[in-house]
Amino acid sequence: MKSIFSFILLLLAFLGANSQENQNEELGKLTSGNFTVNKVLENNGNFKFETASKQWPISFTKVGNNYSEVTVNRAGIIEEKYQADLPGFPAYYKSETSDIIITAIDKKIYYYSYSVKTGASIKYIFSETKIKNYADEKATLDNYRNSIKELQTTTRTQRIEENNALAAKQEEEHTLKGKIIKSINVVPVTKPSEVGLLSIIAIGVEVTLDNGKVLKTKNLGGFTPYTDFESEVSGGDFAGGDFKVADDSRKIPGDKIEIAVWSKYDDKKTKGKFSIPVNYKRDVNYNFSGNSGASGRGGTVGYSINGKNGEDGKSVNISVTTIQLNGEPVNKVVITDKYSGNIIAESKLNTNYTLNINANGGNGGNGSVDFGNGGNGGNGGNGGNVTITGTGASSLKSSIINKGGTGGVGGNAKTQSFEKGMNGRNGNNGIISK
Amino acid sequence: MKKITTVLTLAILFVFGLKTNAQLKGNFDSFNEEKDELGITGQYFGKSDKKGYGFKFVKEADGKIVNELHYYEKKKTPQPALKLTLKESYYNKNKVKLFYVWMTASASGYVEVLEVDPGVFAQIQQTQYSSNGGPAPLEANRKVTDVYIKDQAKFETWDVETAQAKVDLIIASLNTEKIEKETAEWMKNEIFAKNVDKVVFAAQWYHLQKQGYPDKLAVSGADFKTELDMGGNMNFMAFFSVPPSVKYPGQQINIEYEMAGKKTNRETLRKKSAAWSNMVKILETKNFEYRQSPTRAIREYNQYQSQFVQDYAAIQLLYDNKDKLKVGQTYDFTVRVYVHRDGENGAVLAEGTVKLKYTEAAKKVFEGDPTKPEAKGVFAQFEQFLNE
Repeated sequence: MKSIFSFILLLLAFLGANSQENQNEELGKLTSGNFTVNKVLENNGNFKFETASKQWPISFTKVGNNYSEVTVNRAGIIEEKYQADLPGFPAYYKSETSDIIITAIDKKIYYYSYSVKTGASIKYIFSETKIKNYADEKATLDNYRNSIKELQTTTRTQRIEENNALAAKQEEEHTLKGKIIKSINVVPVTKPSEVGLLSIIAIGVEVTLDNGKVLKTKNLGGFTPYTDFESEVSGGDFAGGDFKVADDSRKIPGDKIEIAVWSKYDDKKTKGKFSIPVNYKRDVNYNFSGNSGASGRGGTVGYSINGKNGEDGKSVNISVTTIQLNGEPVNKVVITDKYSGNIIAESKLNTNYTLNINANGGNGGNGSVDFGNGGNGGNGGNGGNVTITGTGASSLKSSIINKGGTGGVGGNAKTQSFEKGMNGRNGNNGIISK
Repeated sequence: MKKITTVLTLAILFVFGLKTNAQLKGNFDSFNEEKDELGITGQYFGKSDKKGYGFKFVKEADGKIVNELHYYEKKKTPQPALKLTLKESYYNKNKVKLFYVWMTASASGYVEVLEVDPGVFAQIQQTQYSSNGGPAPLEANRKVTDVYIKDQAKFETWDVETAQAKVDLIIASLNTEKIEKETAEWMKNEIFAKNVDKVVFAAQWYHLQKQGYPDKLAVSGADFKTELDMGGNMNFMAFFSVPPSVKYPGQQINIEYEMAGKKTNRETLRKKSAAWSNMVKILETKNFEYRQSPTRAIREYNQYQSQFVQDYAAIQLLYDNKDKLKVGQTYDFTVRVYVHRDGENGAVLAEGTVKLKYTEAAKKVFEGDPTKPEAKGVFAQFEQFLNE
């Protein structure tokens, strides 16, 4: 008895597996023409079908033995084209511009979107045959999509292998591995006119091989990976075809950036070099603001209901000296901590550019609600004081914002029997001296 | 009995047939005598109820330009039943006549009419967006509920489905223009312009994207890094020229990692086992709806969750290269973000390379701290996962 049951199960599984035909076979059962439109109506999560008053023209394009394209002429006025997902063994027809997908099963054409997480979301079914309820139609479609995917494996694997072979061929042609290098040319993608702290300069590499062939990095339109190169830099960092100028002028010796590049596979280390002066034509921004205080977290172990105080903005002295660099006036800016006297940063900027400084106090954290009284808001931090001195002080363009932080709002009382927390005090604005 | 039913059915069909062919009558014939510069004013008939309605375009009121559509029901009254506002920019730039009114501030209180053909308006609802001072955004899921037609000869052509198709077409066209305009606006920002289609890296997620600003560039880029200490946080984010949800709707996202000639990717590993599927979640383009991707971590300590968050596909690659790692050396680590469907990668959406530095601190993190033998290193923990 058990063996008969197993046999029937196996037979059903076999028939089930074979009942899923690819779209070349499914579309073969249909003829291009007008189809009755069954539209899905949704009301609070309930779905039903309603037949539209007009039929829509739908056509199928066959190339050789395969149906390559389905054209849905929506309402007879909008032509939508859908291409086969896997031409030799299609499961559906997809659009490049929308999430709509078309699949035909047993002479019904499903117009739907699809998520790997939630399955099909049917919008229309075009069919001359009777439509079942939404859940059954969705189940039919989801089952088809799941089982056809398994059947697509061979064709899909073949396509992936073909694509991988193409990619490997391209990689082989463009890698520097095993190639003899005649020379390397390092060039900016576009010649930068304004180079200052933190500027990003796209720099490409052209490699001329001993056979005269020229290989280029992606940013110059080629396919040679950036990771085939090693580099030595001065005045910043280089990675992925971008040179990022340093954030501090002390890291830019000679006020220029330099880069030398070679193939990591080249024992001779044939180098290409590039250098450009830094003209400091770029605004410089510093943030010395204090952090905001954390809000209270009533009912959480290890936390208080009171908001924490915001931190004060850092008070700094800024010493400015005007120097001449390549015939242009540049302000050298040295920023020191007002209390420790330690140098925090050094920068240079052309006198036409602006030094932006934020030294705001952090906001106080809000008090939270607990089981009784509300927590108090934290106090806002004070704005940092900023003093600008030196021969270049008058020519320095600057924008300084050093406001006091806002006090946190007191937390609400749990009930009227308790008290609302106190609001935190606002921080004082910092002083700017010049 | 059956005979009587048949006769009655025929009679009903005859009566309704006459009614369908007959000219519809309404109370707003006089409106057809009026002219306006948009050619709207007149008597319209509802497709669903065949009743007459009055549409009147009003350009000025009380000395002010108002550009309103006044809608009358049943009969002409001193005040219209509804006053709908023209979205002027759509008309001025695209000649699209879209009028809207918020009956209430909630999404269900939104009414919109859009001209789909001269003298044919689609009535539209949406249920996603609440009042924002203008019409529902173009991303709203617009549903045509009825059609109003001035010339009865067009009744055969226009039904709800036809109007819906035309509305989708018009909105898609406006949306394309909007996306292009937004991209041009983003390109004015140097940080975006220099990093578009790239993956950028930082030691803290908030150096990549300010919390609550996925649709706005609110960081200076000063803290984007070209080198990261493997002992610390390693975060990254992609910049897209167009949001993947718009350009590649209904697809997945795959992330590939490459280091020292070896590659791993999330999708391949996710399909290896249930354990991997639990650790590597599916990413869908619908959740990549901005020009900045959500910030992601190769590995980071997440303050909010009070634990380390790791991308297991990235950790697998580091594990594959563990024998090569030497203290003081840096290693190029490339991240590529692909659009993905049915097990195959599509276009590369963004790519970036960072140098990962294997420091003393990194060695302790990954190989374990000899002074704390009770705490396992990342590689030992990962090996445990692989062995399970």
